[in-house]
Amino acid sequence: MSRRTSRRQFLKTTGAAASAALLSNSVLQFLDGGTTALAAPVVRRNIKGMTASDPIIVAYKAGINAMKALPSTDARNWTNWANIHGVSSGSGPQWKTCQHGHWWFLPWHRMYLLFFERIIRKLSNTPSFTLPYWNYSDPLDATQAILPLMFRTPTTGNALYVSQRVTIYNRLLNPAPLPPSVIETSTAMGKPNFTSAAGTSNNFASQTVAAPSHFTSPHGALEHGPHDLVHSTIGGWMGDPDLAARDPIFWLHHCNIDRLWNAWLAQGGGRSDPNNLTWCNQRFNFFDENGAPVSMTVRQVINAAAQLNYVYEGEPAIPTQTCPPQIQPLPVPLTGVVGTEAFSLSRKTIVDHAVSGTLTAGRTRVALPLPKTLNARASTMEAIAQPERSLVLRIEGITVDRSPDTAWEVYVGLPADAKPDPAGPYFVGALPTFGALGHGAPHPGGFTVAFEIGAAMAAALEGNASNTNVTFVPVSTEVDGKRVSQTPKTNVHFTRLRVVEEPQEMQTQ
Amino acid sequence: MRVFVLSAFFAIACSAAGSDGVRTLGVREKRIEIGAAPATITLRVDRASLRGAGGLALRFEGLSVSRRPDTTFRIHLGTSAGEPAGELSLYGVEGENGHAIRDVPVSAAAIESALGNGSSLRVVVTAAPGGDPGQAAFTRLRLIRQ
Repeated sequence: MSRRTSRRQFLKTTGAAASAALLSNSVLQFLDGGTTALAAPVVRRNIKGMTASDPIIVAYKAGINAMKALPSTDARNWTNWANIHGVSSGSGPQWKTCQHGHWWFLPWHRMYLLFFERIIRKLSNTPSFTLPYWNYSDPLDATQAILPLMFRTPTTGNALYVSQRVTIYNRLLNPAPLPPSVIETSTAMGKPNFTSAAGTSNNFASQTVAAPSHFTSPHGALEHGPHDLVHSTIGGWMGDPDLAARDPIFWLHHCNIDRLWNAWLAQGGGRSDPNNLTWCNQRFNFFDENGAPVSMTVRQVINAAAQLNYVYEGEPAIPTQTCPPQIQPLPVPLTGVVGTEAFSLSRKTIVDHAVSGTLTAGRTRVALPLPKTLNARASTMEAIAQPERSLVLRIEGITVDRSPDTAWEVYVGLPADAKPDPAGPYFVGALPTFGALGHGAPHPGGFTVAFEIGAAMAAALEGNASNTNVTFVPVSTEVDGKRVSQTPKTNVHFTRLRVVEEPQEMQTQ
Repeated sequence: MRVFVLSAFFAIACSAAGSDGVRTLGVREKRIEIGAAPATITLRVDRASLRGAGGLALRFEGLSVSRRPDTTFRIHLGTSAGEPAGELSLYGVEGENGHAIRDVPVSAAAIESALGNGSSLRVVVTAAPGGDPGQAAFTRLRLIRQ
């Protein structure tokens, strides 16, 4: 067995155990800072039967008012938080990053709910607060299709009341229920498959795509109905993704959508989340209850009770969902880091390459010179081979003057004559530029995005190359049988490529 | 003879699996405005193609919104009476204005009922009452199987 082969084998045999251990540790640390053991899951209750004096409702109102009182510089400010979902103009950290029309629709919104719930819990000073859900489709109680009373009560200071909603559903007296065709769930719940091929909607939770996208289509069964239909029917802010999260009922609606994800899984019949690395390893960025930037991967949110410590009132046991064990450690640890923060001593820089890179509508190929000494190259290999260490490519100094409205697929070691393939060994992830917006001016160092590249680097080194490359290709979709790239509306620039070796536990930050 | 040839071509064209992973059973390419007034679109559908695996849906393509609707649109097949066969939401269309696609699942039974003994499927799009129907449009409607 060659040295290279033995390293590969080592990776395969140790990676699964390492990633399993990492998953449990990281989520525990994420939830409570790693200082205490998780308590029994908290229960997100059905709003049915709650009154305005219910402690949950009281806390919800108090939390909303507290968020509204925060300065506009605080990411937890009510409007700023809603802008994470969408906003028609302006820019801010993580604004306009909601995911719709594809298989990350559900996990992105689960994360968005999670951090919102934690913010309300903290700002209302109600540790027992959990988000309630609105089950408008209750088959045993048609009155549940009516917007809950406390949201329709136009009392001065009622933080739950929003006048912009469609009147017939929002009026205090004689409100109309949401129509049965809007709140019907059987079509979605009947789908046996979580996702399906790009361009199709015959699935539970929308199509498979290569990279995150703010909006794309078609929408899958659950996203179509009840999700979209309830948004449009309630109308007003709810009917507009750029404003929807400003309406307090948004959070109960999405809590219900999140609950339906669990309910769908609980039906069995082969239903499961995608057992797919691309889906599982996707990372999204938010802010926690203290306003600090946080990020999570999808694999950290697939089991709500075990990983996020909540269940829905009355729900049955949900089958445990799994992600594929990784040959490599978890990816993308540093997305969203602004500027050139000091490197930890535990990080080891292997490659530091200043470059003037520009991402355009075409393919951008940037040389990544590896250290020339055999020892240094061996260091790269060692980084790949150590399950407790990650090999990370940092793309630094990213600046963009406006949203390019697309993302770039990133490859490491892609041969010059090879076709870019997100399913191939050289693909390391997709480079979004949400975070760079607004940071170019106030942060001259620009934005940093990081990718775990161990597997791709190992593939690149198979050829014993002393140099490799980083290749960027605009994300493409298939239209009429041809791969068509989404033409960026503007170019994106970056100034440095750095390859670092770092401990895996850094990825949870 | 011409009718026969056209019909044969139509059947072949409509039964082929499309590059977007769906099979087109009927198509109408025309810009259709939807808003306060009901819109009626007629598709020619090959009845035989309705039988087969996979779900059926009406695919609205090239959707754009010039004034955002504060309601949904009810999709009736055949006549505009009775319960709708499906419901169309334009939530999020503005995010990909002019390129958005929305699929409305429909049952084979509803289509066969609307077709009767013919091959023309009449699709009626009406704004659900209560909210502002706004102003929107689509450029192609397909009956698909996927």
